Amino acid sequence: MANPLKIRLGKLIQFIFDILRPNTSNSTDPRVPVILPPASEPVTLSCITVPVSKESPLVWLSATIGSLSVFSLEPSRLVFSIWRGQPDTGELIFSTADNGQGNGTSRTTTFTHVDQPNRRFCRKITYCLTAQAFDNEDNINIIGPVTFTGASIKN
Amino acid sequence: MSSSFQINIERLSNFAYDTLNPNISDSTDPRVPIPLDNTTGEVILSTIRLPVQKEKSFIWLSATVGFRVNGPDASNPPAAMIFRIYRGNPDTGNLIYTTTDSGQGGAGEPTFRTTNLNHVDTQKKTCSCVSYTLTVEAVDIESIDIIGPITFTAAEILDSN
Repeated sequence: MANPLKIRLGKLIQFIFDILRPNTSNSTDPRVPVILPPASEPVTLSCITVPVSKESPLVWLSATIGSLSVFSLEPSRLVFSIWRGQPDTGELIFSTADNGQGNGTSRTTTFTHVDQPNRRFCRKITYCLTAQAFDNEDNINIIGPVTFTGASIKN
Repeated sequence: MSSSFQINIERLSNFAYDTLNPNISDSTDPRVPIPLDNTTGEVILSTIRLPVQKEKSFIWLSATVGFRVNGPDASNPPAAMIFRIYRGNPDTGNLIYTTTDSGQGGAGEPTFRTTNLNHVDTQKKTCSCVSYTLTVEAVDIESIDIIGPITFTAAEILDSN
């Protein structure tokens, strides 16, 4: 009978993450609260740099964000975006909108995306996570947790 | 008894995914918008096929779906969005996961929502490839549009035992 030497290299090449410390609701981390006033610009919540190579052309991204809507009785929108590169110069690769309505209302938003960057890119890719509020009457505060993960995966 | 020598360096053995292109809110991908009302019934959002190993493993499934609620508003009876994952397709496969999220919102202006799901399929495998189908059904709603993003992933994790 054959007696093969079998080496299995897994497909998870790298795993990079960024979290608040402590990564809790109403965290004491100085990065929060992030205040999103009415008619404000996008704010960067987190950036991670994920090593990639020719053999790991996929980057599996996930994020969880805790927010508090202070006072917005009409529907308002909280848009989370992931940029390949910096928000002003990079490429928008993902966005999703969640409800920003509330009166002291807490909310948790979680999402995942898979990026397949061009293989001619460099050996590291920075991804930035931003939040922007639309149509809110009062502030929407990012209060924690903020979790942003990137796993480079061999195809 | 087998005497093969095996080195397992990592346990993520297979990964499959499906996303809209671009995978953003109000995506221009022709797969969206998907309009839903009480007569629409169950709609397929995504199907993925994952090659699997012979060894015992678990399949970690995750999905993200963005939608816009055009009505009813919060003063009306609750409306529901039922998300389902089938091993196989909805007609002949096995229902392995469901979750129900709110479909309420919209009072003049629409309400935007994001639903995220996670599941681990532990069923014993019978072939070298398994497919999963993600569906949505709206219940007691007025009008909801699936507008993106839609992300659906499957990762095979080898059992350590």
